[in-house]
Amino acid sequence: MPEHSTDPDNAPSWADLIDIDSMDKGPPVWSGNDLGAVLRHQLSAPIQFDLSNLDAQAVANLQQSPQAGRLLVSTFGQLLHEADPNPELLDLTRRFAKSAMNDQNGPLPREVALVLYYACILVALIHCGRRITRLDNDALARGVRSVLEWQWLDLRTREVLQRGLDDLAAKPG
Amino acid sequence: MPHTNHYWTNAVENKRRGIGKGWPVPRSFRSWTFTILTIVLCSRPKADSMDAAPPDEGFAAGSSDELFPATRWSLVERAGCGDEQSVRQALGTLLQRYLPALRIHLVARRRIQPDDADELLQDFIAAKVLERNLVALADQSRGKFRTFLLTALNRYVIDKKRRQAALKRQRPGDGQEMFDMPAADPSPSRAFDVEWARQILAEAMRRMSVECERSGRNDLWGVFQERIVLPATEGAEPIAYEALISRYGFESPAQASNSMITAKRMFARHLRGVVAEYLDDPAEIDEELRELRRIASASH
Repeated sequence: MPEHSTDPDNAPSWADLIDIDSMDKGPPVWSGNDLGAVLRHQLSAPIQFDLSNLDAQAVANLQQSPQAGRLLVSTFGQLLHEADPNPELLDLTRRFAKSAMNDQNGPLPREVALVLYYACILVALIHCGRRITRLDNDALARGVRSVLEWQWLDLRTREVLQRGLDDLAAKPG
Repeated sequence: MPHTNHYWTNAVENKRRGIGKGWPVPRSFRSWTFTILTIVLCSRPKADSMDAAPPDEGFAAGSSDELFPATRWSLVERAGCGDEQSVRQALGTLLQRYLPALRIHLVARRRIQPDDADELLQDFIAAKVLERNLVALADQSRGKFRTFLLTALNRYVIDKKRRQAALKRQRPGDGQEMFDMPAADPSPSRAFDVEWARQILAEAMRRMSVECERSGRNDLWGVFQERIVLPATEGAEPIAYEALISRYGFESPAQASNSMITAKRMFARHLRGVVAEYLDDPAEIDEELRELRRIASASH
């Protein structure tokens, strides 16, 4: 999984400042040290802030639910690390992460988006018994194993991913 | 600086009357540039005019007209003809843009000593640009303005050298030669082009910083400087992400990322704006930017 956004060879030179369009085509350049900080920041960010930009209608629907007050003041970290997550929010977050993965000028480095993406899927499987992806278990496991190799993951997210991977191993398919 | 204006206005008048040795030559290049710009801005038909603007107004402060030109008039055209104030202002901007590159050309390519190069440029500006209105002769259809300017400078230098040589033959032993005979090739040297490219960048960044300050978006300028410009130009480490969000109060990585994208787009707009002062056709502007990038890439 190429970490192109952390590639030091992609560091800008003053020549690139003239061809600013080429800089604009690529993602912001985040160093390896930055990615851990970006993930921590994302996990502490309010869900409503980012998801409203993705699907305002879906967020509005959630705001009508009886649990709205609790749901929408949650952070991404609370959603992923607590025992009773809302599956609709998990799915929205999965869609947010997937969109960010595929957008070079998106809101997140691709690596951080991948972590968020797999974490949402696994948490939905483990805590809600719900599958919010069409990936089969083998494909999921491959993706999660590669993400777990990144040293900058925070401890709680790593635990979520590892537990999910263990769960997948117990249920081949 | 009224005393400076008075001083240089008298210098202009003395030059016209052929009094004295000509222009004083300051020691440092920075003060020399200040000198040239003062000459341009203060030159008037009458002496002791006290109301000419100090040379750093209209450049560093950044009038709204300078930032967002109302027309796409070529800066070169405005410097060549028009009312006196417009000509002086446009000429001052042009000289500020080109003088560093011209000096680099004389020093690096022509191997002229820096003090001699300063004096040559000073004479060239006074004799050709101001007195002969050189800029009015520029014809965009015949090539780039910087090539035109450089060609004119090269010819001036050659001519001056020949006159000095002739004088020396008439009076042998009377002083040393000022500089070596420059090469016949009038094309811009790499040093000239690199300095020219740097001036373009510097002007675009200056305009962006002014816009950010005026619009209350110093966060964009800060992010741009600390994540992009300083790493690109000085090899500095980009500011760490945690320091970035702490300093600018971003609520999420999306905000931080969006700020960087907004900043880059703002800079790109100003960069095109600087080039558009010389070229009207969007395709020509694109080509100019590509050439400048090639120049900058080759300088590494």
